Order: sequence, then C-alpha cells, then structure tokens
Amino acid sequence: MFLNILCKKLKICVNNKQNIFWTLMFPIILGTLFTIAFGGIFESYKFEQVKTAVVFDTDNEQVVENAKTFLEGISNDGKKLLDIQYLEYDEAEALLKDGEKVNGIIRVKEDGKLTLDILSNGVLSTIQQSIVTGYNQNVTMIEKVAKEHPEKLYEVIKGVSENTSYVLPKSLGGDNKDPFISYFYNLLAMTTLFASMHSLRIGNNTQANMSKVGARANASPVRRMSFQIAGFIASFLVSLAVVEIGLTVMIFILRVEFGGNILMIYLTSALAALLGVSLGFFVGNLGSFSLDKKEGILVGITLLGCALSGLMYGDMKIIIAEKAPFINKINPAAVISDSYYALNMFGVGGRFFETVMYMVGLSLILTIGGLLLGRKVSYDSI
Amino acid sequence: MSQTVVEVKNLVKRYKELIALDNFNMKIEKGEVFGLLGPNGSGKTTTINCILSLLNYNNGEIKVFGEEMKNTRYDLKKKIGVVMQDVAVFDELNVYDNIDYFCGLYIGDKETRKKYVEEAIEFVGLENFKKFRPKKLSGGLLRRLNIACGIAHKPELIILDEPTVAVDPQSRNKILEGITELNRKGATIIYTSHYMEEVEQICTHILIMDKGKNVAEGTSDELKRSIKNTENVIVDVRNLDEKHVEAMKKLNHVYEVKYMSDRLVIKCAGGRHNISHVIDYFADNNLDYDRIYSELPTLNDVFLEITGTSLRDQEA
Repeated sequence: MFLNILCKKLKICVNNKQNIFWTLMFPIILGTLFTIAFGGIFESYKFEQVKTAVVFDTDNEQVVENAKTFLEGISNDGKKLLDIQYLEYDEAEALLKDGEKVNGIIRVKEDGKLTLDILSNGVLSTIQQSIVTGYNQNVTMIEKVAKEHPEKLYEVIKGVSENTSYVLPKSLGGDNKDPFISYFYNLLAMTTLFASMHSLRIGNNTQANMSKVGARANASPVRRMSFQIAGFIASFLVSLAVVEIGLTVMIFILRVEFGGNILMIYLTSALAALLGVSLGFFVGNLGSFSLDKKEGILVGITLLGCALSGLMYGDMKIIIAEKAPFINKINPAAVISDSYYALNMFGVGGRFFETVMYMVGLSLILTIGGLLLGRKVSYDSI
Repeated sequence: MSQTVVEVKNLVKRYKELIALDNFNMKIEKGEVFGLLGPNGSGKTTTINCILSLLNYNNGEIKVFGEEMKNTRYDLKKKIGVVMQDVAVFDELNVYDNIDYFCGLYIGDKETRKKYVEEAIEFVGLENFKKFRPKKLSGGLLRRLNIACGIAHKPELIILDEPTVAVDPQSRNKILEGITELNRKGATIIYTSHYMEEVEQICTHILIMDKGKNVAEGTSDELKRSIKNTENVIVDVRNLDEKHVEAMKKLNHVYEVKYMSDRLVIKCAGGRHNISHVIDYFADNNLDYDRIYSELPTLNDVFLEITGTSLRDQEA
C-alpha cells in the first residue's frame, strides 16, 4: 500500500512539467547565462604574467642580487608572476610608452628599495605596486631587525618569504580559486531550494481543508503520516535527480570548475536537496493558505535567501556575516552555498563538516516542524 | 432483519454564528439508496463530511456500521467509498493511475487491485480513455473518473455528494444507471442532490433537508402523500383577468391559484377530474387558452409545502 502511494507520488512529481522546468531547466539556463556573462571575466582573470621592465640604478651587487632573487621568485601556483626584462632606463621608458610592451618599470635603488613607474592604473599595475610596496616594507623591516635584533634576522626573513601574498586568492585545500564561482554556489543553492516546489504540495494534498484529494485521502483508511512520508521520499528522490542533473550539466557541459572532489560535491548536493525538500514540506504544512500563497511564500524565501547569500551581489554574504551572522546560519541558501564554498576552498574538513551539520540540523527542524504542523486529524471547516 | 448502516443523532454543527446542522437526525438501512435532498446550503455536504469524520461537530452522535465513527476508525473507513462533490483526482496521473492510486488506499493486493481497477473503468465506461490525463477529459468523463476513484475498491457504503453537477445528460444517465447497478450488487448508497428528479428516479428512501434540519423523510410516494396537494392543473393562458383567478379559487378541491408569466397553476387537494372542472370554467366564460394539462405533485411541491419556498427557486 505504501509502495503504491510512493510510486504514484513519484509519478505525480515527475509529470509536473511546470515544477520540473523551474527546478531543472531554469537553473541550467541561468547557469549558461552566468557562464556566458562571466566567461570574459574568467578569461581576464586567469593568471597572466605582468610584463615588467627592471632597471638597476645601483651597482651594489648584493642589492641587485636580492632584488633579482625576489622579483624572479614571485610566483603563483608555480608560475612566475612577473615577465621580467632587465633594461636600461631609456629602453624601458620607450617600451612603457609603447603601451603593451611592458606594464611598468621597477627601478632598484641604491638603498635597496624599489620604485615603480607606470603610465596608468589598472589591475596589472596594482599587482606591481603591491609587489614594490611589500618588498620595500620587508627591506625596511629587515634593516631594522638587523640593527636592533640581529639574532632574529633569519626568522624574520623566513617569515617574510612565507607570508608574501599578492592579489590572487589562494585555496586552502580545495582546488578552485575562481572568485566568481560563488555565483555558481548560489545558483546550486537556488536549484536545491527551487526543488522544494516538489514537496510543497504534500501538505496540501494530505489536508482535507486544503484540497479535494486531501479530503479523499482523509476519508481513506490510510494514516496521514503515510501520505506525508511517501510524499517526502518521492519529492526528495525527484529533487535529488533534478539537482544532480543540473550539477552534472554545470560540471560536464558548462565546464564550471567546482574543484576536484566531485563525489563530495554530489553528496553535498544530495544534502542540499534534502534541505530544499524539507523547506517545501514545512511551508506546505504551514497553515491553511492556498497553494498559490504557499508558492509565493516559498519563492520569496528562496529568492530572499539567495539574495542574502550573494546570488545577485557577491559580497552580500560577507556583509551579512559582519552585520548579522545569525542570518547566515538559518538562511538555507547561505548554508548550502557555504558548504560548497567550504568544500572547494578548504576541502573535506572541519569547516565543511560544520556546514554539513547545519544542513542536516535545518533539514531535521523543518521536517519535524512540517510533520507537527500537518498532524491535524479533523477540521472545523472544509 | 434490517441492519442500520449509518445512524446520525441530534447532530449539531456550527460555523461561528451560522448553524449548519440543527439537531439533525438520520438513519440509513442496509441496501437502501438513501437520497439527501435539499437546496444548496441546506447542510447536505456538511452532514457527509461529519459522517466521514472530516469535520468536527459541536454535538450529537454518528454511528457507522453500528460503531461510533471517528477519524481514526480506519476499519470503518475501509468499508466506505466517497465520491466528492468536486472532482478529486491528480492532474499529473492518467485515468488508470488515478483509479489505481485511490483503489490502492484500500486494496493492498496488486492483482486484486488490477482487477478492480479494470472493472471500475468498464463500469464508468472509460475503457477508451485509460491513458488520458484528467485535463484531456470532458466534464462528464471527468465526473465518471471521479466516481470510479470512489467506488473501485467495492465498498459496502458509497457516499455520492452531488455527482451529477454540471454533467451532460448522457453522462448523467450513465451515472444514475451505475448507481442503481451498484445498489443492485449490494452497496448501500447515500446520494445527495438538489435535483429532485434524480433523487426521485433512483432513491428508495428520501430525506429532505432545509437549513440543517430534517424536514421530511420517507419514500417518494410517502412524501407526496404526506402533503395536501394531490394534483396541479396548469393552464397556459394570456391576459387572464384577476377576477377569473379569484373565481377559480372557489372551484371544488382547489386551494390555491397562482397566475404568473401567462401561466395559471391551480393546486388541488383531493377530488377527481379536477382538470375537467377547469376546462368547464374556461368554456363557460368564453376564455381562450393555449394548453391545459394536469400534473401529480413532485418532491418540489413537498418541499414547497413544508418550507414555504421552492427547491427550484433556491437553485436559481
């Protein structure tokens, strides 16, 4: 009997073309648009060597050697950050004025410090400026330590060389450093939350005062809990399929780089689908509003949640984290996108498991809440 | 010996200030086609929902198959089939799957269920529409599907709440024949309607409801015999003077005469050949008329005489 209900509920979910479109096709379409829109940005953001002319205004071999070692040693992911040409100042200036030949001139001064000549500001000149500033600060610090605490000189030099960081972010265990990937995390979060539409009807279809089929179900010899559980499982299975298909399209067709741990990304998506279904289940059992109103509430929660987690404005989640961190803990979209973020930036570890716990916890609260709300046995009016 | 299938005692149901059921009583015996007749808003559906324990009620007692009916009496619910007033099916499932789903709530065995579903499809004449989704069905076919979903599990008690509303005549006849057939096969039927002709056609026992009260009950003949009216003489006549209306009230056995929209209705209590007295009056007074005929009282007359309003007026 339960199996028959489950099978039919599955058919109902699968045959609901409108829900399937919004939960499957819409995120794929939006993901495609994201890929197109951010494609150019990704390209420009890909690692690019900064063409730099280096001019020595000193004959001090130690100073020259230190500067050369430092500038040639700056790298990002094993690739050299600067494309260096050692030139006389006149030649360097000509190349700089020629526009694209070099992006700036770093001059090594007698005192060991660096100066930067540029024609205009931009990302590349900012990187150069950052390098120059950092180097000069380190030189000053090393000189000071050498004078005042020479015994700590080695530690300081070691610390300086390890902590040098420039513009590009560095993954701490994950694989993807793409700053725009957070939009796809939020898109996945939205996909899983839109999948909550599948479970929204469970409540209505089991309440005699909410739908005609609900009245018929209540007149039957089957306990309401059986309808609720069968509906929940069916919704979860369909949501899971929809979310994983969407994820597969993003990874293998749109070539979105979520990182190397694909299995964990799929498992995270499964948990996210569970959270989405729980949310729909809860809203579906929330009061005796019409299905349209409940859909409105759910879409509102989903879109607001996604907005607050950064789907429309990437830094929103950071702002929320600073101003009202509690919201990020109860916002399903933020919790889901954060788990993808944690997985890809930090790998499988404490931070990731913390977000998993939040997802499981929220799912449990919403599911139990939905069951409690939906346990009413008879009605004052139908 | 008769066996009571449903017994309702002193049922009271209030919706805030409105009293939907006012100490309502009803008793249905096994094998009956029990008609609940009343205008819209008289409390028929509320009664059904209370019997099914879908609705809380303020006072009273409901017994089904001799036992107190509660929402958790799944053993009793198993013996009941319900055809709701509004079509209650899933748009996402086809005809076969819809019937299979609802039948599956009562019948666990797959083979038995398959047989029952096929029989239900044949019973309502939807053999050619098994793979159709509800949205592809006409109103009449949709009603038939609704019925099939309610009766596929072969219940002992079938409750049909206005199953013929907005149905074409062909489907209506099919539905009414089907109900009679179900009863012939042993099911007890509760049939609610505000269409008195239908109730008169298929019901073996009729209860007339008005404003949440049981105003009369019995067989169709018993109900008709219980009222003063025994014959209605109707004359289609134009521009009849008021003095003739008054004069005809004095004819033998006539107790009420109404003239509206070129139609004269003369209500008679007892007597024979009342129509001939009316014809004589028209001849004696040189009055022309288009048509004259006599009718036996209907359930509408019963309702009218008891409540003072017409069922048909309330339908409008």
